[in-house]
Amino acid sequence: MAAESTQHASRESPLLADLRGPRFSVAVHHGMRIAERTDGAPPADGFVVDVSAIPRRLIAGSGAAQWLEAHGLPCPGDVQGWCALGAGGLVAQIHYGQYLVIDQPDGGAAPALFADSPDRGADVLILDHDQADIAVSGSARDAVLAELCAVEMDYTADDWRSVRLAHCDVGLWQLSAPVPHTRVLCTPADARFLFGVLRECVTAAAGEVVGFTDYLALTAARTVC
Amino acid sequence: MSSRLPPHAGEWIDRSQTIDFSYEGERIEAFRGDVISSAVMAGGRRILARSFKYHRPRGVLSLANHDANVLVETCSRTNIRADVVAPEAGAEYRAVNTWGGVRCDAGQVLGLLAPLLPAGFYYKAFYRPACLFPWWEKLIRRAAGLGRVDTQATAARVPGSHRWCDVLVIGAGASGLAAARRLAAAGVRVVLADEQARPGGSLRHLRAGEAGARELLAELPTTLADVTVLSGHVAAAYYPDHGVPLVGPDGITFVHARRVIVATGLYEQPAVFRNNDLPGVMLTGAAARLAHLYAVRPFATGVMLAGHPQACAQAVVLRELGVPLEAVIDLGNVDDAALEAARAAGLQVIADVNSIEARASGGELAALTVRAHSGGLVQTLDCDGAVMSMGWAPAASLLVQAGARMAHDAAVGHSVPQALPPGVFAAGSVNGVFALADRRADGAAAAAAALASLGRGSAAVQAPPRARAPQSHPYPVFPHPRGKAFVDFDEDLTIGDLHTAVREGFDAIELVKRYTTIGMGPSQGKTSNMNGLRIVAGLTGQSVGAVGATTPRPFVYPVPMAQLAGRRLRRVWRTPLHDWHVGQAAQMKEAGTWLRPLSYGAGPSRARIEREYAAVRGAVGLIDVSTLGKLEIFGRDARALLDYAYPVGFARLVPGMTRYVFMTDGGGTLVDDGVCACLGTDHYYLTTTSSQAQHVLRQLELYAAQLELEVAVVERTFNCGALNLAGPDARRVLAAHTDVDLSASAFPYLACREGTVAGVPARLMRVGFVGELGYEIHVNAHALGTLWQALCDAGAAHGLLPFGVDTQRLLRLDKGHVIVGHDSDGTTNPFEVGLGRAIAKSKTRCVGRHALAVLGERVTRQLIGFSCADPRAAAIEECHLVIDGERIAGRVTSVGWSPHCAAVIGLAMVENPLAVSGERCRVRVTDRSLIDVEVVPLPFYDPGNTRQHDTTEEAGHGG
Repeated sequence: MAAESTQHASRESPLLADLRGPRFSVAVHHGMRIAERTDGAPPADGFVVDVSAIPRRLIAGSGAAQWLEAHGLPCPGDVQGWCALGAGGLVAQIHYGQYLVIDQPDGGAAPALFADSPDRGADVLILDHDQADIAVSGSARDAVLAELCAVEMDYTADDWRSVRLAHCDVGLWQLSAPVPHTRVLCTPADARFLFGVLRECVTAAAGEVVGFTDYLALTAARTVC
Repeated sequence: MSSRLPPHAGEWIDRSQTIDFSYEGERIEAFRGDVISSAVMAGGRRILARSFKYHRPRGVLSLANHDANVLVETCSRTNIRADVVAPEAGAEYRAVNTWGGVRCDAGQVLGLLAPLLPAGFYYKAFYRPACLFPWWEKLIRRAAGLGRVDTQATAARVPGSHRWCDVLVIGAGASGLAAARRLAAAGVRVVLADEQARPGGSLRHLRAGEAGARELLAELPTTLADVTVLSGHVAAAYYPDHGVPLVGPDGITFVHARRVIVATGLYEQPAVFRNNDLPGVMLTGAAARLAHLYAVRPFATGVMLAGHPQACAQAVVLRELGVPLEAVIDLGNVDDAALEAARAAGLQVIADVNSIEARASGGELAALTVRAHSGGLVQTLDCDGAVMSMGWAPAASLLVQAGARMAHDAAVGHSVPQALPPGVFAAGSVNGVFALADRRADGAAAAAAALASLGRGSAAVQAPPRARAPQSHPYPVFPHPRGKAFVDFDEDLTIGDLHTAVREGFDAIELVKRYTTIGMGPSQGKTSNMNGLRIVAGLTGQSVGAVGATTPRPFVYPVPMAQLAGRRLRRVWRTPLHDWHVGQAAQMKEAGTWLRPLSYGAGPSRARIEREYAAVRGAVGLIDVSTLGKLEIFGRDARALLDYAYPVGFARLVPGMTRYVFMTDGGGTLVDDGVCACLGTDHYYLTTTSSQAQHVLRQLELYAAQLELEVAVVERTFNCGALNLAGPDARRVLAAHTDVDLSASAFPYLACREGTVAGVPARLMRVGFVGELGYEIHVNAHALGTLWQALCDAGAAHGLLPFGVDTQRLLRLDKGHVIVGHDSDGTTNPFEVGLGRAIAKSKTRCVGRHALAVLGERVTRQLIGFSCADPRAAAIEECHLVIDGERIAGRVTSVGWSPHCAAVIGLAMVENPLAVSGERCRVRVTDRSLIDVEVVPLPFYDPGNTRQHDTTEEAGHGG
């Protein structure tokens, strides 16, 4: 997925300010200014990356479940339940009757949802859900999460949990393939703090901070696989 | 290394690897595997530290982290447990709390003052005259205490971790090993934690002579094949849901277990006799650890004080290992066969003893004097070592914290569990089971019970019976009319101190603890509580069981602050504009969890605020209000929810309009306020105060559930950012960037509109935030930066300035706007702050309705405005008292210098008689002087509200 023109992007990742310097440049993906690496070296085994540009929508209201089904999207039945949305997308019921839909990194998981502007119907409310989205990977990931999160997780399987991580309320999304990694979704207000903590942990374990296109490359590999 | 024993099987030291370090300036050579204390003792030193209060010379007592005799420090770390910490190469250790070093500690002069410093002396002295107390406090803190923290040293960061398992077994002695083995065989996830560096517990030293001990240790690789072993980890506390922090050398591992088996064993107890704290007097376990684990000969000539059934056997084993024990003093509770075995091993047996005292030479033990029951025969034994085998106290703190009920069992000789909470099991010595085979069987039985509770088999394994003969000396206390007989080594607490406490009426054990501080030192009573109970029981004529026990609270072991702090996470919330604020030299301040700008730019605070104030009043200003709580209320019953949650009326709120709302609790107390925008008949957008966003969300969700309403309450606080553009030029600045018609007729005061601003989808609300024409604009958080910058650029030609929280407060104070939580507190109701008229009295159902009906009938105080042109009024601060005559009539809630009024203005909550314009009252400021102020009508600025209502018909939309 090629970067878009930066000229008309009105949205900016909350982590962009943390990723300034010669190793990073600003690119636009999904209408958001976000950091990419300037060098093309393959990412290290362990990495942390800002993937906040990946679109998210919140579907709420008494008709939210029916709306999802009507639009061909899976609908998790329970609060905290989740369903995979194609390869690399997710639908999670994060609150009673409120569904978070996360697009695939390169888009296209739910065109009917993400192509249009947020809207409201008779009994459904569709909202942009501005969060920070941080992906963490590598051999240090398990130790990092075991340090910062008091919830037991199976790192070998795909999973979604709402947990507290480093004192922040986050959504934790485990992806097992092709590169096992974890997506951490947090509020923009917590983003800088949490990214700083994760970066410290990952870099201390010889990992590195990479850019959005690195993540796209990894998830593109998923399709090839 | 003059005191090393010959190499033997089971020693932990690696004689092929040496480590050099220094102790009190003296070079020490250790072997890898040594601890600091063992290495120093191997070098021939026995005075390793000084005591807490009297600076008495101290040596090793337990060598097990069960006492705090030997605490050392380096230039960067303090209170290092020398008994269990390995020396680091090149480190320079010294004892804590000495004045001139261990050998010549000038602080020992305090020992001469001991008669003046009994327990609790600080309760009776130093409090008069009060002005001298700080001096005394400083002196006492300097004289007593532990290590000194180097505040200049780089703080350590010791990240912890969480770990999960099916069963956590605490204690890797015989019972713990048996339990772990059985659990692992059943296929459950087992974590086995032990404070020692290697599993095996006392089988490796004190109980090494037990039949079968060697074989059990030989089986360890098989036993632990499928077990996660965390050696060197102390289980320091017990928290709900079977959460146990294991404190290890690399940080805290917080274990979340489904079941827990506590196999923590026993703490060996000392005897209480004159000078029992001299270096050279130690517990048998310490001598056994020194000899077995570190191959250190603890003394040149030693004597054992025997007071329990296994004591003589332990003496024999030590002697066989090369520890020069020469005699056994039978203090009772030792059977004849054991004494005979001791004799057979070449030990002199001195029986029928009723009193002992130690004598010193050069600060160390030099002799023991014993007196026989019959005839008062006195015998002096020259010795430089005395090992105490008096018995035990259960290591049951974790069990008690878990909720177990313990009771003293006279047959066993100490307390044992009587009832255990669900999911918690006790095994081994802590459970009153002593013989090795029984301990193993008890461990296996506990494992079977744990498995059964997990639904893995039945608990059909029979637990062995508890000991039927006392395993401890019933009263190992040998008072002496002169000299110090220490009960608590940590606190330098003697038997005389306990006598004093009881004599003064502190006869309940918890009172004794607080008065004397017994058990309150770093070792938390591990070697003192049991004897303390016995002494108090004796003094009060009760049984030990009747005296009860003190409460063991977390932590059972001292934990370094760095480990508790972990990674030292400090979370603050940043708005999407944080970097912009910082880039504009904003003074940032934490307001709750949020980091907010107070004002911008250089110069004194007042100048900055006045500059921003002038921009808002004269041109236009822009403030980041992203911290406001934001909620979408959506669904068929949205209006019903709001009607119930807020006492104000919504009947006239139509789509496209907003209204001011405030929330009370059921008692009518004002808890929050904000703005409610009606976006459709079933869709509202609600703002709350920054601090109450989560509370309001929870309350609305609760009400919706209670009333079974069909409504979604969607939190948007963090997903949306917001700003407020205010000032007479606000419309002109905004018009250039929006497709919304801003003309007064199309977008009147209190209206809301949806459109785009700077290309960003936005919600706009025309509210009188600071008393000027103003627009509050809400957009998605990620787009706020774009919007903000566009407005700054557009406003530059109009003199736009950003303004911060301090300026906002002054602007709102001008208008007499109440800031909930600032001008109100947990007792304020709406009537007291002038909001009573907004309450919809016609409502038949809403939160706080009944309370508000009553409160409205008897309003006794009011929020009033005051002003004062006297320059001294600059000293008035929030919370200063309002004085009416001689009495307190209220307090100042907000105050500031108003450029508009050219006076200090403020709000104060005062009693009704004062709440009349033109009344005068006085404010008592910090220097206790009184300043006259005048009660004035509110608001101070634009009483007709013409500026915020601005009806100018200009500027449509720029698009």
